[in-house]
Amino acid sequence: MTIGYATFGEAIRRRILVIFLLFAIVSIVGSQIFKAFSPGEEEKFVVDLGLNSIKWFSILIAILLGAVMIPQEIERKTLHTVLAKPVGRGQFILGKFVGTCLAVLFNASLMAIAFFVVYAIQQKGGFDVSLLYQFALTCMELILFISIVVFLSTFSSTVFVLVVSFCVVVLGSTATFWKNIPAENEISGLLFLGVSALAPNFEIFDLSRPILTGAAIAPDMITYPLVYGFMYTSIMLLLSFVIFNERQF
Amino acid sequence: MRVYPEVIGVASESSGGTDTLERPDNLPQDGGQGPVPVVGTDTVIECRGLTKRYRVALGYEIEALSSLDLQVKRGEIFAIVGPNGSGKTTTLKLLLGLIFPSEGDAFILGEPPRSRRAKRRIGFVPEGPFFYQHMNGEEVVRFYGRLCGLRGRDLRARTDELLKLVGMSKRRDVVMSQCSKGMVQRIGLASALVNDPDVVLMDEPTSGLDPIGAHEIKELTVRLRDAGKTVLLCSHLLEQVEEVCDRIAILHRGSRLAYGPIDEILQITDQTELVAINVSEDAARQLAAMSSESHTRAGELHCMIKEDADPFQALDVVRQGGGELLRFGRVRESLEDAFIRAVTASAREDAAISTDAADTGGTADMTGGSDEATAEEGGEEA
Repeated sequence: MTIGYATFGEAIRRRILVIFLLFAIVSIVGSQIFKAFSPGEEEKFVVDLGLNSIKWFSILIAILLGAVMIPQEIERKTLHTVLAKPVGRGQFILGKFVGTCLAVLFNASLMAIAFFVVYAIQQKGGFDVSLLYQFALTCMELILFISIVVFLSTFSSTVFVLVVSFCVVVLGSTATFWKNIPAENEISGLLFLGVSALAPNFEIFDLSRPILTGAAIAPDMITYPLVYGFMYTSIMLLLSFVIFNERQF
Repeated sequence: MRVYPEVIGVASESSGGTDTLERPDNLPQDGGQGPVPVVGTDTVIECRGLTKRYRVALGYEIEALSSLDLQVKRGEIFAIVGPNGSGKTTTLKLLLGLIFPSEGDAFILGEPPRSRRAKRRIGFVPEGPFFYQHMNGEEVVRFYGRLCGLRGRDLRARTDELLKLVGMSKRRDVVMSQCSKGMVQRIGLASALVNDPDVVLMDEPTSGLDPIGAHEIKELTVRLRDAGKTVLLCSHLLEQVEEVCDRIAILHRGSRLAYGPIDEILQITDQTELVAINVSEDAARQLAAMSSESHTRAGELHCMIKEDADPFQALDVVRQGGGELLRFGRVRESLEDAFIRAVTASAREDAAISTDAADTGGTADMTGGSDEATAEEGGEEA
């Protein structure tokens, strides 16, 4: 946890993170002004913009933090002094992962508080519990995503991590499309199958449709993504340990 | 001596006149598995045929370290000296388990380099350390203390003690982003010592320090040895190393050129040095004629008597000239001289091998006379 706290302390002092946080909060609060553009669907507009702001700004923060955390330690050789102490390489990776998660979730929580306040004002004191479910799933989605970024950064440079992370976000957010796309030949069929099998499916963390339509949220819509996220994160961390353990600095 | 007044003699103030640093009470004791075995009786660090090759483009390899054998004994200051790129830092990285050997073995406190049991008893001062920029000096030392298992009151006491030792107790609140290079180096030293290590590895410890800072680090290194610690330091600042170390290894292009006690490595030259004062002008002229080099500094006449001249005749000249003899004797070469001698001899050997190979049909690459040839023989492992 010592490495985790240090990572968190370093992360929350980054200026870019504060800028994204401010953008997100301005966007959430601004939804009260822009809802006028969707007459009759003001509530949907506020919820949609609020939830998406939390998710996408948090993902941006996760990419920017995750991409630099480990490569920077290697480049600046801070890693040498840490690994010279009785610290395992796995512990180091876990510390970096936990610290990044804490920083990203801390920011997501601030955004969520801003959103819940705006929503409560919109509803004149009312509150929808399903928004909390959505926030919990967004947190799991962010944790999963951070584990992928950490995995990538155990063997590559910051620029590579940034590029591939964006690709992962795009692939993960369009998982159904890749699964259902008709293949013109065997090779493209295998490619689409591989992409849909390996890339994380971020769509399962999205409850916005039932929330916006007022439909009931079945328990498995919560438990399945949580289990999926936990498993995927565990595999990513395990692979990170294996790769990092063999790296030379 | 206005700067850094805390360092010199600080341990005397804090520990009743001894230089020994107290071991923190709650440091993990090797996981309760008894004392860590060491290689032999007194060997703390051992390298056996330690080789490191790096793969470069197009399948080529370079050999950064070539079959290094060395032993560092308990309680000594051992220095690895050599120019940049000679393999010093590579050796330290191998000993810390940051990189893995292509061939050979390394042991530190009888354990392989990546052993956590050994790391509990190691301190490492890197060259130009870089710490988390948002932390201040005190937080950095506490961070490394926590990594070593120190907590609470013991950690606070240990941090205070070390900040005082390195002369940073009054500047403990300065964040790392605002620290000078010297301050960072001091914090690096304090962080390395936080677990009260038995073995301290230092990579260019005086790099970036002003002369006072460098002198203090040198003094601290000697005090560590006096406190029973073993110090392995790598440096290219030969003069500083010569003053403090007991034994050395000279590395050049990854190969060990010389190894042993510094007194054995530094040869006594054929030249005789004479230093005298109050020498008459006539006597000074005579001495100058007998010397390969002579000059007067602060009233002292310094002469290097020529190898073919009789040094005792020079003594008579001083006496007859009414002078007073301050120093007279054979000159021991400096570490720099020894280093240049070793490198020159190695270069001559290389040249001879290349010439022989050329004479026997241009097979220089097959003889191992060049880095590239040696690397290629190593195969895939890098």
